[in-house]
Amino acid sequence: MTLSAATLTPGFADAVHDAQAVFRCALTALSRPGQWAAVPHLPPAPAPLSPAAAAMILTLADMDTPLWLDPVLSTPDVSGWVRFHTGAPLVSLPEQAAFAVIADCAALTALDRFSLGTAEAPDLAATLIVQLPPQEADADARILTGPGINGSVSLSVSGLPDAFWADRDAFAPLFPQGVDVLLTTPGAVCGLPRTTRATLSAAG
Amino acid sequence: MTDTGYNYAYLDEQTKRMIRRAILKAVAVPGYQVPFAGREMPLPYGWGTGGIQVTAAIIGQDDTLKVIDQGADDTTNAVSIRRFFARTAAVKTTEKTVEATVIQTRHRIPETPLTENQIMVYQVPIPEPLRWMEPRETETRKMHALQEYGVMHVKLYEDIARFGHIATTYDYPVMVNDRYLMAPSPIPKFDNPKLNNSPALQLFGAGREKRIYAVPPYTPVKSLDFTDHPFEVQRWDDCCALCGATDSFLDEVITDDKGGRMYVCSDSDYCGDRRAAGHVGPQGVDADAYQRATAAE
Repeated sequence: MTLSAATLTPGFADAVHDAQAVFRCALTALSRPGQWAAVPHLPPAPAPLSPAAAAMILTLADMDTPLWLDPVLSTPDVSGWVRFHTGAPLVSLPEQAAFAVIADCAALTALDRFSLGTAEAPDLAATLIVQLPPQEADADARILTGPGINGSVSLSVSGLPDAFWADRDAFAPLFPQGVDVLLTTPGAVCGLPRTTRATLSAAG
Repeated sequence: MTDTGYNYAYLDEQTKRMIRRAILKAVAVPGYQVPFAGREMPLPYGWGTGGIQVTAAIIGQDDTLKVIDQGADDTTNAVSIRRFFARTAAVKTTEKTVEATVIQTRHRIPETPLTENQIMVYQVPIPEPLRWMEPRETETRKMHALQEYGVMHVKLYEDIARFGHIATTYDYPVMVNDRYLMAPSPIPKFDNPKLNNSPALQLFGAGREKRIYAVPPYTPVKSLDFTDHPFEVQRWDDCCALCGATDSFLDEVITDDKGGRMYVCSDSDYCGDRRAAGHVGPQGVDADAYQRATAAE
């Protein structure tokens, strides 16, 4: 696969400090699930990769992290950009991935395609970086509970299939196995670690 | 002065990414010990190499760092780690708990309540609470997977059989989110209640054993006990000799060879704040008199 210089967009302006700030944003997101955190540095990502998802990739991926791009993102521009900036090996099977980047949310079903880790090494589970479609105003509200949440918090997200939420529920008894999710809009991120339980709000 | 011969915060970027990924997985599985490729640090194991690596991976130019050793900001370990990050990461440092965004600690949790804007980083010597009962990592890993923690209860019961009470006073084992047994690092059990439902994110780094684990904010952390021997924290008959506090963890200081002793707050910032606010203990002098005396020296 060839990559022309014209299509290669840059990464972070300041690789060290931008990555640090974006990591703290991701850390805040995963340690306070359900709360949107603005991503402080947004690299000019090649479409259809969103700037926030691109920031997460630059911050977390490298040659040690097999990365899976869903079919929508598997374009020469995106693959080339990920390879050039991170050196992450791109894998063809979801179960091989430490990070999976998903743009086609409607197809985000069968989460057991991804690595859930093992009971003895749950840290080997995949992290899903999900690019949400433009959000609708009347999205279903879900009540989230779990570690990192003071009581409960309400999260309204549209575009994720019911099977996504059902699979997360199905993994709950398997804890500590499970997948961790970073939901992204073009400029913000919201964490859904495997410990977070979501129930449809009765009002919603 | 900032050293320029190293990458920002001493560690190279690839190492930081590896530690950052371990921290995120540690947050996702509260209390589970994530292995990480711990690096050699420019100080010996036991001096906080794990905590320093965690701090180096999270710290940024906007942070304000506080480092405490046994509660005090002015002891060797605290001073040298604070200087290390002032030189390699150009961060502001402070001794005030309320000003800090990152607090690296050895053996204490500050008395001043933590906030949502703070991250605690604990230096951990032995991350595996089951290690004294089961030396094999393959076995302890399986015990965590199966949530097989009976041996820890037996250990606490043996305390009761021998001493009449649970004699474990520091590194007192806790259950995190009702799932993982966790060593809270050698903090006195006096501090264990502060782990529970804390608004601050708490990260634990063990350098020699190469493990990182975490307690996210607002996570239940329960000290193990029995219904007929409930968990209790240390109490003192005395108050702090300098500030008169009765609610803080007190260090016993031997003052002569005739049995003389005094008790003082282990948290130097808390004690100093109280004295500055006018609290005076039985052997203390009021803050104004203290400042006049030190200015005169």
